[in-house]
Amino acid sequence: MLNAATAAVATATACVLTVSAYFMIRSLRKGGCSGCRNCEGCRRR
Amino acid sequence: MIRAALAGNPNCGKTTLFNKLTGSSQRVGNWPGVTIDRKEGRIKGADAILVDLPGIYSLSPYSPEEIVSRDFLLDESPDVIVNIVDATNMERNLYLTSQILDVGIPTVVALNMMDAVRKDGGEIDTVKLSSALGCRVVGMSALKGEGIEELIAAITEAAASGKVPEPLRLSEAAEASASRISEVLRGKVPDGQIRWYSVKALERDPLALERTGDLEGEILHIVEEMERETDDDSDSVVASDRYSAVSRAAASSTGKRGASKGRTTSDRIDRIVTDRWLGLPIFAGVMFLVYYISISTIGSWGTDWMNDVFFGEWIIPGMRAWLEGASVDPVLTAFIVDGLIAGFGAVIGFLPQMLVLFVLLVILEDCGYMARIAFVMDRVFRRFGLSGKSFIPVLIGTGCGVPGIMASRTIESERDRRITAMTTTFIPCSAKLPVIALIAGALFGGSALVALASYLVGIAAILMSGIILKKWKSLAGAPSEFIMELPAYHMPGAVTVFRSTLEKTWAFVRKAGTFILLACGLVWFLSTFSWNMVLVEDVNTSMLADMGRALSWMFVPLGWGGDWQFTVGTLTGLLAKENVVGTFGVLFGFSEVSEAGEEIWTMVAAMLTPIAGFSFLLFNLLCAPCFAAIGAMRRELGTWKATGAAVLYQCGLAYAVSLIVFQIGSLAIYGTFGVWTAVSLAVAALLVYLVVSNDPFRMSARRSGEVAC
Amino acid sequence: MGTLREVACGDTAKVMGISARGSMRKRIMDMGITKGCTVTVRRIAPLGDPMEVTVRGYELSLRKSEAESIEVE
Repeated sequence: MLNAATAAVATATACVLTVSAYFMIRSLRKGGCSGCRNCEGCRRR
Repeated sequence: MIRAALAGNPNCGKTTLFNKLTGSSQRVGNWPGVTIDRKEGRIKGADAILVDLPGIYSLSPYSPEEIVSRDFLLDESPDVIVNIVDATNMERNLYLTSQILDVGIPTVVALNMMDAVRKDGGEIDTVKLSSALGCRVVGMSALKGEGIEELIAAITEAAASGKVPEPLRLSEAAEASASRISEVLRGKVPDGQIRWYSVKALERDPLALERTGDLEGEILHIVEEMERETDDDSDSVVASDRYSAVSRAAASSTGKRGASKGRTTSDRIDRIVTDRWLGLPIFAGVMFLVYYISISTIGSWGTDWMNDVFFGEWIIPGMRAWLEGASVDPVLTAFIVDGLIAGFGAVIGFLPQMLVLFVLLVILEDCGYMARIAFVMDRVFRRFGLSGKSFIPVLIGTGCGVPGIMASRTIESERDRRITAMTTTFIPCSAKLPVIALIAGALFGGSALVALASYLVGIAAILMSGIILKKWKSLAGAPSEFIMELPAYHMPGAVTVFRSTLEKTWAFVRKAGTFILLACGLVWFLSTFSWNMVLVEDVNTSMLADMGRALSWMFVPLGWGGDWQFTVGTLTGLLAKENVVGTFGVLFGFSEVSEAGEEIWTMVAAMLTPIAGFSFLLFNLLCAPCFAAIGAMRRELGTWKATGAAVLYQCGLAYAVSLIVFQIGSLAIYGTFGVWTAVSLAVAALLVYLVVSNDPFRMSARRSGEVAC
Repeated sequence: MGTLREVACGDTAKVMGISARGSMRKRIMDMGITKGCTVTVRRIAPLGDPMEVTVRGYELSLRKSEAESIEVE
């Protein structure tokens, strides 16, 4: 039922989602500006 | 390890110098309590950390940028201050230097843009300037990379010697009073900072006086004596003295001083672009061009290619074929292809448009035209409680709300910035166009008036919100000032444009890879499974359908709550507004619909009356924007609480407007009158009241900024 | 004796004092408009406000309401 390919792809997907969740939480925790410098506010510093 | 601080005016090449000094070893964080970046990095080839302070004109205690810089210099006492000074605009730049020299920390002045001075045939004697200022001066050009080595050597030297610069002398009267104040303060503040506190107390600086505690009365007595003697306010005396001291220093190091060539060219350009008659047409032309290039032509070719070819023909079918070929479980395949990749792709598809838009905006900003846009448009927006700078985000918002909200950061006034960030998404973004096309096509015979009405409603909502929101306590405040430098025009540097564009683009990709990816996974899951985790055949039995049904009662008064599909469409619209039409396609049983959804027009027409359709459209245009835009809003507003309040306001306004339009429209067209008609009339009255009522904060705001007699 | 608001386009005036209070006062002085310096009015924005002036060798924009609190002669 659960073949090797499915298991491998599932693992890979889980890894991608975990990494993405990690970065999402990190960017939320950092709060405020993420330093994209998409504005004068950052750029002029 | 040396700790150095980089301080300087805005627009003087500070970012360029910081990048040159630290290379890629930068870390970005936040200053405590404010949404201002704190960047630091290791200086190349030296055992030193450089902290980048915000760009400021003065160390006065009013803007958060200034307070952050003061606190850092006083409380964290770096080993050395690197003060970058624009050599083409010495006087105003050295005014900040004169305050930095008072702090009692070894200082190196980095005299930037020496190449521009030379090009204009000018000359600055750094040795003479150095002796006039009493600290090391290094002539350099951050852009050309000249003098960087020398600057780094000067920084390490200054830190090693620990030699504190001699403060610039003020007038006799001010010096005498400052030294009397320093006698009073002796022992109460750190010895090295006594000069700083004495002079700041002499200026009646509230933050400095705060730290003097019960000595305030005694100090103010000395200040008043000097004011009687000089027949002028003490802050005015100190500011004039500082400027006289720095213009003496500047004059000693330069020969004859005339308007530089860069300035006269700038003046000539300004004469045209801010001309009485040409100013507005030129502005409209520039904006049309930006919009045309990034949204309609080059950018949209790229986006269409990304959507139709890259994702539509290569990635999605390719991935599906590969996964099926490897006999991966079909549910997992669907999750990856229809959930994650389709969702991620929908957002990443906008990347080409964004990239082009970013490049153009960076160029406009870097060359100095953005400041002129604010100058030209200020009058209009000030009427509605916003500033001229609020126009730029709205304009960008017609393409996409995310960069629009981000662009609100060009606004210095905290209050204007917050109101702008909260209202920018009212303007229909390009992702809302399919919704407009659907409603116009299905219910209004494709009339272009629907689109026009959508833009007008968006603009009206922004201007109305400007008036309403400034009556809120947290957003009230003195009308922000518009005392703004109009920097000299210059050719945008290729490196700067490339770097800023890359950084912005990366931020966009990062968002798509986090928020959007995860949210898309979740929606796919909700629309594919039932509550007991069984795969559903029919989307009507999915969890998402139940959620839609659970919420659709709320939209009954708006005329489109009878069918849960519209509620679900609105919900999935939160992910990306393009989803609204796509969701209908799935929910009405068409697996693929074209962008405007022609296939489902008849079904929508059967379910909604035109007025209910228009109400649905208005609600979707005005209510909470997509998650990406909410995330951007969160970044500008600083807290989730403020963001939540903003989203509530947007949804509330959307509900009110849709309710009024549907109920009063039904009354007018079909003569239906019910409880909700009455309610909608009351809501309309409330909105009118909010707009025309007196501003409770206006009087006090007026007074603080008003001319004192 | 009057305020900067009344100075005609192209004319130069000498600053006699700043009557604004609080942060606006500080901001005006920090930008280089101090007692005794000269200010040249360059142009007025197309819609009549704000105005652009040259002070201490650079261009500054300010609203007429702000210029009103700058006394000149």
